[in-house]
Amino acid sequence: MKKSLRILAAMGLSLLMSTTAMAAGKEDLKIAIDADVNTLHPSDWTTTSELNIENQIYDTLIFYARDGQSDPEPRLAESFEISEDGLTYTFHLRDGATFHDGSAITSEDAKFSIELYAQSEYQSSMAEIASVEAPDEKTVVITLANPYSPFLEDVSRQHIASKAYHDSVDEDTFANQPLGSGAYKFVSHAIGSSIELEAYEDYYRGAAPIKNVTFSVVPNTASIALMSGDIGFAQIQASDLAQLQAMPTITIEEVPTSGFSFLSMNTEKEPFNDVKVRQAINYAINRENIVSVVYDNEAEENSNICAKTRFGYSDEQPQYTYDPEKAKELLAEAGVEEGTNLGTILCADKYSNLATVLQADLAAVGLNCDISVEEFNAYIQDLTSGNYDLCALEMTLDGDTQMLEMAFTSDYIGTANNARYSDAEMDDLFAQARVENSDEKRLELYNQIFTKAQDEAVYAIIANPLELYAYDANLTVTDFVLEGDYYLHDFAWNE
Amino acid sequence: MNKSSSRRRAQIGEFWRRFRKNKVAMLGLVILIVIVGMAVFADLIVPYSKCVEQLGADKLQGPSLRHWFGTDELGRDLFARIVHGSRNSLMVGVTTSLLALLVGATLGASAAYFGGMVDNIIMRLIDIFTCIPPILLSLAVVAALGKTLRNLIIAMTISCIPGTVRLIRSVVITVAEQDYVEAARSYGTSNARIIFRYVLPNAMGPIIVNTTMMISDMILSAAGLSFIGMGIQPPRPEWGALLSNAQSYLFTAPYMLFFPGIFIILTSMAFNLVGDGLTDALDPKLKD
Repeated sequence: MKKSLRILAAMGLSLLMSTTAMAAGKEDLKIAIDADVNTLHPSDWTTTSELNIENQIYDTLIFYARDGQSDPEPRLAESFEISEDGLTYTFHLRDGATFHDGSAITSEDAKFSIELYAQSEYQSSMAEIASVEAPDEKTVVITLANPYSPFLEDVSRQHIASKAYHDSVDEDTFANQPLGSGAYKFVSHAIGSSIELEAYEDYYRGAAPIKNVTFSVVPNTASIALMSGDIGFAQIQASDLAQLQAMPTITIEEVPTSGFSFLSMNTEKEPFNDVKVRQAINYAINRENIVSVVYDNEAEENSNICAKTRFGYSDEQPQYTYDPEKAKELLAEAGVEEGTNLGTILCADKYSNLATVLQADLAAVGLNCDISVEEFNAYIQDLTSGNYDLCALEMTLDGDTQMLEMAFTSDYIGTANNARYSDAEMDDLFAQARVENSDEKRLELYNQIFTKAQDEAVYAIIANPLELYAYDANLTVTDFVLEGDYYLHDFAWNE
Repeated sequence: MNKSSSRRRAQIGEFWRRFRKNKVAMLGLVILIVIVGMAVFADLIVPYSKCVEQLGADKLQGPSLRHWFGTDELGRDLFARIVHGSRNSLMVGVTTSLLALLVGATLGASAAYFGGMVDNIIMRLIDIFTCIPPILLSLAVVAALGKTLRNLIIAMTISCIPGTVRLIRSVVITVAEQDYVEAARSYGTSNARIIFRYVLPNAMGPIIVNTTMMISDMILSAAGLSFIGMGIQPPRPEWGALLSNAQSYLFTAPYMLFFPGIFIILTSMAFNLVGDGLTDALDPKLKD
């Protein structure tokens, strides 16, 4: 009797202690991701979830906000120099930075990681690396075959991993049980359900305030999990916004991105090879209505492929506004009769509302079309192979503005040049911008490029959707400077 | 000739009298007539243009005098969408079930009646089809033939044939052993005549119930296929598609889920009630 009483008392006491410990400072965070990760290989990531988790596990040489205004910030590299000709980049690594097993991060590791990134079939880079050298323990020298002005951009995405670890384990272990250089250590991965991370106490920028982080796979129901307090941080859909905004315990962050929603017209087919028809379609679209109806106002109206926050954008570049009368005039000039059937708008399920509204806009100027909603992979297949007339979709070509060449140059027909647009002058302008090192001259080139893209109405760009994040009101989060990338090192629970 | 047709009329009258006495079945019949009427006279009730017209300013409005069932996320009138959606939903449900019944009855009855080799061949073929999950089978067929309403119906018919064949075979096997079948055979009646004149009519009860249930199942299946983009393409309305579309607005606009849901349930229930009523009215054993 006495013994059991003592046990009970001990249990009560420990319960009391654990509750007070929780109140003193919460150190756990659960984050919802929409799908499980297939890999945590430093350079072979493909999905946003994979990138978001790897960004916590691996550090980079530099950190670079891609807004054309910020300077690169030092990370593993304390400083760097670029040669006059723009071909040689020299990085000086800091002292005291270590991998999660305590070994020092050396230039050999950086060289290995940069080469890994360059060889990865999953990453696209427009820079051609001629060589990577490690002349001493703390110096890395990258030589490019051709000047590529936004190269620092690439560097800011190259996760630094340990060469010794790579050499000592098999590929599978290297990819699935990562040994990183970042603020968080990998702990475990329960397939299909969760990934556990733990703050790395010896991180050179100081240990992160939140000690244990769980990335939990919560498809579709993240907003309900947020409301119940099960999840602390999640990316959400615009349709969930209203119910979450009503909750005082939840904060919403709207992050502008360079991603864009658009109607792609197959310029290899009639009548989309006629610039007047493409312009008419641009005038026929009521962007304001789409932003309000399809995006619940969580998007910024913009007919320019270059987002307004992006380097190279200017208000002087033409914008298309809603003008159905003008659209009809242009169609008449192009000899397209009222009631012409344009074929089919191809789309994936998540873009079907966008397609439906576009169909109504086109019908209002006398252009008819059907909608075909396809399974995602089938839709991608048809889109990239040019087996379509019109396609409603969203795309992100993030990174430097130069990445937009993938939407315009003839080299990318069959991948990201969905309009299958081919123009020698456009190819040449992008080639010039690629090797230009002066920001002023690049700005001028991009101005020419986007003015031309708008004049020729290569695409019918509609808006830049905002990315939406919802989180516990007691949580302080990262500044979203990078297209919705977040860094848990900046997260903390408020006192 | 005259005599036999008047006897048939008397049979129908007798059957109708018994069916009418079943209040629940009559309720089902009334609901069914209303819904079928709605599908047939959709254009008179509300013009088609109403169900594709997007009133951005009115989006996600709850039920009101202007929009009886409210509006969806693009500001389309849900009443109009449900009325016109009934055409697609009923058409897919009824056509698929009848086609499946036709093919299923022929195959199932042949297998059961002839037995032996014929039974073996038909049933092993059906076994092969049973191995493939129905939704996957429909998907494969639609993917191969292209996404039109006709192909959707073909695909769904194929996917529900195996179940129908099995059911009809099991019912017919018991009927085929009855003495009157043996008697008909001894008269030298042809096989086809025996099957259609004596065997199938006496196996009617379970077949009718199965078909009515199948119709409601098919309406739901069509919804599932619409959901994964293999069914009826937007902006054409269809009940299941309306339902799956409502998912994202579960909390903010529950009426979007409620109205199509109610119509699917009512239709499904009506078919089942009528089916039950028919079984009772047709069953000679339950004669009062």
